[in-house]
This record gives sequence, structure tokens and C-alpha cells, in this order.
Amino acid sequence: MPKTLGELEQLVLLAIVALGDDAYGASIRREIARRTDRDVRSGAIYTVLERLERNDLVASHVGEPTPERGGRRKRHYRMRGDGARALEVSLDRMRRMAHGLDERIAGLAGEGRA
Amino acid sequence: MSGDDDRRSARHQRDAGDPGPRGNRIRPSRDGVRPSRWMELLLRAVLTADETEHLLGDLREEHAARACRLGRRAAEREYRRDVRELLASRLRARGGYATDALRRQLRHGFRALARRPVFTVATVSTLAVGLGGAATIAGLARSVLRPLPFPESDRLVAVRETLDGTETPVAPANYLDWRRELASFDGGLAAHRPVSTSLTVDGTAFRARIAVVSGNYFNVLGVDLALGRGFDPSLDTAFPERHAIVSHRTWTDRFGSDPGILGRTFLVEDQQYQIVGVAPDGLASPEPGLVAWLRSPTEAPEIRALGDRVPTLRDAWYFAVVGRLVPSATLEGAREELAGLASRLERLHPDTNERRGALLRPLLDETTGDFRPILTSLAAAVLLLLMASAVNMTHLAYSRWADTAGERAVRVALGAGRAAVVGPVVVEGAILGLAGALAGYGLAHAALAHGVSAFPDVVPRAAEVTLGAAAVIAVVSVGMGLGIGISLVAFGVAGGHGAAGRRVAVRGRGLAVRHRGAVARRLGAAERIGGWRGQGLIAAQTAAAIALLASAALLGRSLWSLARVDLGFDVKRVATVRIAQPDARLRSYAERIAAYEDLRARVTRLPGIGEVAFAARSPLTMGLQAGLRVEGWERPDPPGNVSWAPVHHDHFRALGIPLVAGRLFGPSDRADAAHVAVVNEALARSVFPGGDPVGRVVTIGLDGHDRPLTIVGVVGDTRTRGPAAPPGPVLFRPITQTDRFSADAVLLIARTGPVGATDGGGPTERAAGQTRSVGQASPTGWPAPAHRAEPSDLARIQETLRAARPDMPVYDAALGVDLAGAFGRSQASLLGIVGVFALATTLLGAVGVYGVAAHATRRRRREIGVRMALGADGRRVLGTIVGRGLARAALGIPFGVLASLAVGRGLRSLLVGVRPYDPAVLASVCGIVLLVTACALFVPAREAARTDPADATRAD
Repeated sequence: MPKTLGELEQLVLLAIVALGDDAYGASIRREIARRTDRDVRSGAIYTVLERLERNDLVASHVGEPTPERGGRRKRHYRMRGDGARALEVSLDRMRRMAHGLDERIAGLAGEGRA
Repeated sequence: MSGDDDRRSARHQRDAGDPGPRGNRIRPSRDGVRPSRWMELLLRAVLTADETEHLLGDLREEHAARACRLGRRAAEREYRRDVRELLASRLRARGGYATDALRRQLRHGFRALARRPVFTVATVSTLAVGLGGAATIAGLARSVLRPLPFPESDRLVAVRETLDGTETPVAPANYLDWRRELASFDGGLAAHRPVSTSLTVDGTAFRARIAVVSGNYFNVLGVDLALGRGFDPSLDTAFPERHAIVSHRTWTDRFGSDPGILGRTFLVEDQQYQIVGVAPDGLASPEPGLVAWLRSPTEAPEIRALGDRVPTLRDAWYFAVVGRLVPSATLEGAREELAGLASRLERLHPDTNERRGALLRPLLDETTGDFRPILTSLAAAVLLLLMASAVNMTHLAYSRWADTAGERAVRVALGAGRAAVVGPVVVEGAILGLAGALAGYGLAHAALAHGVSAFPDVVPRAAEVTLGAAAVIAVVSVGMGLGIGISLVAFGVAGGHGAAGRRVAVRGRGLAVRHRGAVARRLGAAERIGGWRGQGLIAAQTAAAIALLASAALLGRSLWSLARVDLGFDVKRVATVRIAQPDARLRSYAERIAAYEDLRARVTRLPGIGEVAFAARSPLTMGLQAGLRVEGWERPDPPGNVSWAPVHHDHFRALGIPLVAGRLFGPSDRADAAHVAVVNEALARSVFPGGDPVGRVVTIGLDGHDRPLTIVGVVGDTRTRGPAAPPGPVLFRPITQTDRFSADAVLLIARTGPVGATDGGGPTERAAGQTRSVGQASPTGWPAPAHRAEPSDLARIQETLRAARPDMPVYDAALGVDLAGAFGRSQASLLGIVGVFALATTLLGAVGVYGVAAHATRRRRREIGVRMALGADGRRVLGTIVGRGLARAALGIPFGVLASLAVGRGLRSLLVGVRPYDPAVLASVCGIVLLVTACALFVPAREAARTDPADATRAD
């Protein structure tokens, strides 16, 4: 049974999936911002990445130096099997929990606004 | 942080007039837009190199993107925010791991200590007492020896006159010669003389302490006045007007902080002084609590009745002198110059200055005086105490780590790393050290706050004694250092972590630690070291306990002697008050004396009051000193100087001072009768050895040597120089004949009980004419004499005086026992401090001895069991253990005795009736320490003697 993922962990893992080979700190952050309109501070991203790596959910390697970044290398992240399974379980759980509740949630939210 | 923030700040940026993206001509170069270098440096400093690389890359990438989107300035701000946040989260993460580990270690440490309450309490209290003692003495030393509160105070010196090497105050004419001739001093020498007098401000009269000073006094000290220009500091100024500087307190309290105080006047006795300055707040020189400083019109602090003769007096010594060395002068140079001048004056004025020299020393030394040797010896004693504490702690810690050596060996064998094994040692040591340090600081604080400050006469500058923040830091770091260090040392001796190069074998419950060289080294080796240390411990603690107990005993013995010193007058039956005449209405001397005489007569009529008299000074003080000349003097050396005491004719009867030869004063010794004097035995002995002083004719300096006085009687001595010193020579004169005495205030002395009454043979008996030897029994411990003076007598006397003359202040009411009681105060307060340390050391010693013995006995349990199985009886086992322990303790006796002698020498100035090397005191102290040691040994020994042989041999 994989560990339950937090929300930010899910977001980061999803971003890694979306970015494929181009997942590194700055791109992950941009991806999350682009898709969710949410600007996560880099400190939080790195903390999450470190934790995911420690728990063997993602792996990282240092790439070649790139001129755009003042000649600095990127640390690329890729999903590991455990990470994918954990993400699958988390999302599945969320989907099943939310199943058929969309309308009611929207209704309640509308009520709250009114 | 959320996107909202981001957008808000971007918007805010635009509102604030940022030109936006188009305003910034971003030209993406090969490495993009560079963010601030500082932030990168900061990141590099905090993060590790392999972390930094990709983070910096990411940050720069984002910065470039933001610079395009939001503009350069906004991007920079965002970049900074990112860095800040990144650093914070990194530090949090890193600290988090460290804090967790620390918290875990601390929790383990606290648990381990809680499981060993005896060890913990013993260690903490040991350390607390040691550190507390050290901090107390260090605090005392720091406060007492720190620089005086004047600019460049290390250049300030005090100058005294000497007679045959004995210090005396300074005579006016000598001072003026010094001041004119000496080149070593900046602004000349300044003279001062604190006195009690009557002041009248706005019609209100009160008694107060003031100082009469030379005009340059404030300049020499470097004191800046709060208000006004002060005195004219030049010498030889003809100035008839009288000037005063009032204290800051007087300005606020008596003059309502009047900004126009300069030029206002007040009365000192009957003379008007004009205020020319206000002293700065808190000025406590030459003594605290002065109300005003008066400039003497004679340039040397005057005694008013001496008038214009003051500048010419060389044989009336009554004031102190301070000076400020010029920067080029050294202490030695100034001493030489002064000595040269003194010997020139000796040749010029052989009458008065023969055998007179001068002495110069730093003003700080003068202020701290006798306290330095006391401080040194206390410091030595406390160092001993701290050492004993450290040794005691070492032993406690050794036994704690030796106890768990087996458990540790198992853990090491199972793969525990060095850090895992040593960590708890450090943490426990730190906890114990911190706890001990805090408790010790508390002790020191309490000792200084309650013990020392309460007794200003034992500790000079006592009001200023404090422990600063530096002391807290010092105590805590020394405490933690000792805690950790001792813990580690003891741990090492107790077998260490048993890793690296050692093979640890666990055989059943037995344990052997083998060195690689295959030479077996059982833990026993370490235990032997421990045992050796244990011996040293017992000896060291015995020594410390003996030294401190001996000091306490010497002080206690001195107090006891003080209580029994015969002060030379009837302490128990005397009540005294001071009366002053502040007003100028009674101009003539005869009228002043008549006023006192009237009051005296009223008090005499009170029931239960016997003889009543008045005098210029108390029988226990020296008073003014003056040179004595004797008619028909044939010896080459002058007669020396004497205390001068104008007294009422009933003075001796009121105090119960016995007549030794000749007659006492009587009512017939009026102002117009022949001038007479009575001398004390000390004067008779020193000036007329083997001869009869009665009938001899003398003159004294304060009277100007122009009035021949006939000695008519000799009376017993009173302790004018303190209880421990031999009484000084005193010359009494009938107060009716001493019209050069200002008589602005007198001491009224009343004797309780019927006139001429005695107590019928008790030890306080003072029948006139009876001579006694010095040191004869005193009142303490004997049945209370019949007419003992009570506080109610004082109250009645004060009431009578106030009713009769409400205009004359009555103050300083004291019973004879109060006057005498002031004598033991230094000893009592020091005994309080030393006594606590002595007791603590003795107890610590006992705890240490107990610990060593208990540990040794536990180690030898099997051996004892075997012996008992072979037929040794319990009593013999007990005797052996106690005997061995005592033998070890006895090793410390020589050291303890040596230390006691050293400490005793330091305390010498406070010892009365006992020598520092008093064998009885030393022997009884050693006996007590050995007795306590034996008691401490008895507990584990009895336990050993009850060992069940079967149990002991079965045990590991």
C-alpha cells in the first residue's frame, strides 16, 4: 500500500508526467502555474521534489549545462514505478470519491455564493 | 504564497508607475538577464554545492522569463522573494532534521537522568555549589576592584601622613606645603574631611553629613557639576565668602530642583554659605550620602574653632588627601618626590614633623583597603571548592558510565556507531552542566543580593556589587564545559565506546574488552583508575572541607571573642543620643555648654537614670588627633599624638570607666579654673612609662600649645581603635574649658540605675578605682545585670529632650550594646558567606566519600561475600571498609591544614582573640571532617557487612 500523497505532491507528479523528459524545478513550477493558474513558490516545489525522491517515487539526474541558464545544469526528474502507482491510487481514490457529486457540489457552492 | 499575491504585486508594480515590459528594453543575451548577484552569493553560502547548481539555474531561468513578462524590476523582486522563500524552506528542512535528532537525544538524556535521581541531584547540586561559590567571589571581586567612577581613575592616588610607619590623617600646613611643592600632580592635591553638622535650609534645620573640601577637589577628581561653575580651584585666593556645592538629591528634595539655585544660601551651623554648584547625581565621594561640599576658607578643610591658625597647624591631623598624577608621572616617581619633600619638612619642623613621613597609593587601593587579602583568601577557598566539585562530579559520572559499560558493549557489538554511543554522554553532560550552572547562578545571586549588600562595612562599595550578563554567560559556559568535559572523561575511563581496534566479546553476562595486541585488559583496569581517583577525591574533598570549615571556625571564634572583649565601659547600662544646636542664637561657647547642661540635668531627674554626662565623641571612636608636648620632656623622641576628647565631668561615672590614679573631673573644673586634663592608661603607659603622669604639665596641638594643662588623673582605657586593636592614647579635658571645640553637637550618655549603683559582683562590675586586664569577661552568658538599659529608656530620654528643647535635633539614639554590636558585623557577615560554603563543602565531601565507598564496596561484593563465607564476621568487614576510607581521607589533612593556614592569614585583619594557626581550631575542624567522613562510610560499609555470602558469590 503506497503512502497517500498530499495535494502538492499530486500536482508535482502530474506535472512531471505532463512534462515528460523536460521536467525540472522551474518547468514543473511553470507547468503547475499554466494548468491550474496557481503560482507555487519554488521553495515548496523543491521541498516536495526532495521528499518524493527520498521516498523513491521519482528519480533525478543532472543534465548538461545549458547556456540560457548562465551555463548551469538542470536537475531532471522522472517518474518511478512507485510514484506512478501512488499517483494512480491517489487520483483513483479522488475520482471515485467525487463520482456523481459534481452537480451537488456545484449546487452547494452556488448556494454559498447566494 | 499564492498566485493572487503574485498578480497583486505585479499590478501594484504597474500602479506605482513601473513602465512595464515595454519600458524595459530587454535584450535577451546569451546568458539571459542577470538577477542580483548578492542573492546568488547568499544562496551559495547557505546551500551545498551540488544543490546550488540546478537551483541557481532554475532561478535564473525564471527570472529571465519574468523579466520579459513583468519587467525587470518586478522580476528582481520576485526573484528575491523566491530566494528568501527557498532559503527559509531549506533551513527549515535542514533544521528540522537536526532539531528532531536533538530533541530525541534530549528526551533520552532527560529520561536517563530521571531514572537516576540520586546521581542527577548529587551532580547538579555539586556543580551548583562549586559554581555558585566561584560566581559569588568573582562577582565580589569584579565589583570591588573595578575602576572608580571618575575619568582616568587609574591616575588618582591617595596620600597619607605616617608616624613611624603608622598611617595617620594629614595636617593642614603639611598639606599646603605638599600642594605648593609637588610637581607630580595635575591641578595639585585636594583635601577633604567629611563631618556631621547642622544645616538650615529655608528655616528648616536638620543634621547631615557634609564634606569640607579644598577648592580643587572636584577638578582633581574630574567631576563635572550638574549645575554651576563650582569652587575657584586656585590656591591662595583671598576669599572671605563661603561657597558650597549641594548634592543632586539635596537640590531636588530640599530646593525643589530650583533652576535658579545658584546664588541661594543656606546655613551650616551659624554660618551662611552661598551655593555655587550642584553635584552630578550619584556622586559618592569621599563617602555616599553627603548633602553638600563646603569650600573651606582656609584652603585646608577647617575645624572652625581653630580659625586662622589652621594653615599653620602641623600637629593636628584630621583630613584625607587625593591627587591626580600628571600623565608623565609614575607612582614610583611621585612617591620619591613626596618622600623627599617629607624629609625636608622633617628637617625644617623637627618639633612637629619628626619621624613623620608620607605614603602614596592608588585611590582604588585606599577604597578597597583591607578587603583585598580577604578576597584573595576567599577566592582560594572557593577555587578549592570548585575543584572538589569537579572531582566529585567526575566520580559520580564515572560510576554512572561504568554501571552501563556492559550494556554499551552489547550495543557496540551489535553495530552501534561512535556517535550513537558518545552522543548521550555529551547530551547528559550538557543537561547536567546547564542545570548546575543555573542553580549555581541562582545561589550566587542570592548570596550577593542578601548576604553581601546587607553589610556595607565588610565589603567596600557593597552597594555596587552585582552579577552582570557576562557572569551569566561565564557561569553557563563553565558549567556546560565542566558537565560535558567531565562526562566525557569519566566515560573514557569507564571503558569508552569500546569501538575501533577493540574486540568486544560478550560472554554470558561477563564482559571482557580486549586490546588488539591480545593483552587482556579487563574493565577492572579502568576500575582501578577509578579507585585511584576515588582516593584522590576523598583526599581533595577532605582538604577543601577542612580549609573552609577552619575559616568559618576562625570567624566564629572571633565573633565569640568580640562578644567577650571588655570594651572598657559599662556596655549594658549605657544609653546614648546625640544632640545638636543648629542655630546661631547661642553665640558664646559658655551658652552652648549651658544648654547641654540644662538638658543633662533634666535627664538626670528621670526615674531609673543614674549619672548623665555629655562628651564630644563616643568612647569607641578615636576623634580628632593632635600632637602632645610635655613640659620637662627629656627623651629624644617626641611624645607622639593623642586623641583629644572634651567631656563633661561626670563622663567617666556615666560610662562606668574606672579611675586608676589621681582624681576625676568635678563641677569645680570651670572655664575660669586652672586648666586640667585626665589621661587614659594607654597614654600613661606610652608617654610616662614607669612614671606618674599625675601632676605633669602638657600642651596639645589642637589647642595651639599655648594652654598648659595639668594632668590630674588616669582612667581606664576604652577600645578607641576597635575591639581587636590595643586602645589608643586619649587626653580628656573638661568640656567647660575647651572653648576651641565647636560644641555644635554632643553625645549625651546616660547610665541606668541609681546613682553610684553597682551590680554586686557580676562580670560587668565597674567599681571606680578597680583596674582590669584587657580581654576580661563580658556580659554575654551571665545573668542579666540589674539596671540594664532598655530601648524604653532611650525613648524616655529622647522624649524629655525633645519636650524641653524642640529646636535642638536629637538623633542617633543607641544603647551601649548597639555601639558595641557594630564591632562584630564584618565578622558576622563574612561568617555567613564562608559558613554556607563550608557547610556545603563538608556535605559535598560526605556525598563524594559515600559515593566512592558505595561504588568500591559494590565492586568488591563478591570478595566480601567470599570472605564472609570463609568466616569473617560482619563487624570486621565494616571496620575494614570504614578504616580504609578514613585512611584515604586522612591523606587530605596535611593539604587541608596548609590551605587553612593560607586562608587564615588572609582573614587576619578580621580575627579577634584567635590566631590563624590556632591548633585547637585546626584539630577540632579535622576531627569534625573525619567524623563526617566516617558517617558517610558507615552506610555502605554496613550494607557490605550484611552481605549474604551465597547471594554475593552467585552474582556476576
